[in-house]
Amino acid sequence: MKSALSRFDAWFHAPVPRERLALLRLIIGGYALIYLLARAPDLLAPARYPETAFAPLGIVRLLDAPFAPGALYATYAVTLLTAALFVLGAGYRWVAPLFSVLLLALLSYRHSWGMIFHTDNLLALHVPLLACAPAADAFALPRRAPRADPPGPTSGWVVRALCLVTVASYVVAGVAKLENLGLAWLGGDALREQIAYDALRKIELGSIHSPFGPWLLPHGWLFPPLSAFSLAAELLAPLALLGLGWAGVWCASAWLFHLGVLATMAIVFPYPISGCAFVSFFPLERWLARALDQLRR
Amino acid sequence: MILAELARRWGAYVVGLGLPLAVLSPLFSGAADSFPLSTYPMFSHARGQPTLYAVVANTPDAGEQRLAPELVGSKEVLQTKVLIQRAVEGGEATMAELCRGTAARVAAAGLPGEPWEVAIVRRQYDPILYFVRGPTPIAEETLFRCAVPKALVPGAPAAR
Repeated sequence: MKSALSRFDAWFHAPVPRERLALLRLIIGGYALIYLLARAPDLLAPARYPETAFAPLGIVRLLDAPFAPGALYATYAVTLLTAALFVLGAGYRWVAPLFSVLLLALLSYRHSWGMIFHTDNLLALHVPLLACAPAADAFALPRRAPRADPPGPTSGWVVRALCLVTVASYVVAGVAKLENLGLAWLGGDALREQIAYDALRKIELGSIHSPFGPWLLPHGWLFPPLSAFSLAAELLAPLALLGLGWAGVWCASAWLFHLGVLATMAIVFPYPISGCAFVSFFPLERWLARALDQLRR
Repeated sequence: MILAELARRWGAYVVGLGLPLAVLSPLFSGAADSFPLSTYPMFSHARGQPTLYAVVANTPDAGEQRLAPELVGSKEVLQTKVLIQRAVEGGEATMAELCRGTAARVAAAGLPGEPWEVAIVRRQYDPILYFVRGPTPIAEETLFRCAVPKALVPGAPAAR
């Protein structure tokens, strides 16, 4: 037992190069910044929603009533500013926690109008974790004067926590399917119905649906293997913690699962589809060094 | 120094294991779906033969137009679905509010086919049969109708 605990402790605190944390900051923070810009109309849309539709969630429960439009616009502007500073690594010790709280508040607010989207959860959990790490010791602006003793590797617990949170969220999604439908989910009917229902409601609501999903529906035999694959991609997520090879296989499977959702239901999970949700599993600094080596040759 | 290091290590455990455990917690607590801690219920329920609410526009040639979500109230389709459902649950007054707001936006948008009436409808479908056999609902009911403002639609017939 003691040896298992010390092995876990060694794994959890195993040092990582500071460059990896900085690259995670650049990728995850950069994604958040682009997402905030691209999603501005949706994030600001609640300013026009009727107050009766307000259904506060998470930290938004602290509010008694919706934000006044001006307060929403101001929150968005400050979040955007702190996102840019977070990516640059400027004033990181203060900016990163502030950005993570503002991002959580803004995303929670967007979900507080009766419909919870499940596309932003991981981002809202990853950014606060990164805010706990010394992720601005490299690749940061303004550049600091070189130190006599350049900082060495630092405890990698934040990287491990990012991976654990990612894995946990997929496991919850997989268990939800088993809880609600049991092993019948593997029969394929639930997935087939889901694809049909998604396209149908989009047609009824005047929105765009994927033509590929309805095209698959007459071919019922396709759905049991697709269901088994998607359930496996969720429930077997913990395998990604076993090492780089396993992580590669699982991340590819999870990515393919999201690609399938996009192709059949036109539902985009931008964080995993962009790959940003999975970067914490990989030695980014080694990949960067290799790429720079290739460029120099 | 040793104390500070110990505090750092334990702090790391509290946050670094606490957050993943919090993500897993809805499995044990039975908490409702929330944000950012979620039960991830999407794709996990049998859909059966769902009843859907929609806002449609009727045209003078007895045709029906599906309305883009932004004409109903939100650019986002799922948000629109909830807006319609809440309006129906709220009764006549909230349906009237949604219907008239939509009708005003339809009039301002100048849609082709010159819709003259907006209707909130309830329809029940078998989703797979919809695509395999044809888009006929199992059951259908119009819950509320309102006219598209006449001043903006010259020559439109009066609303029923």
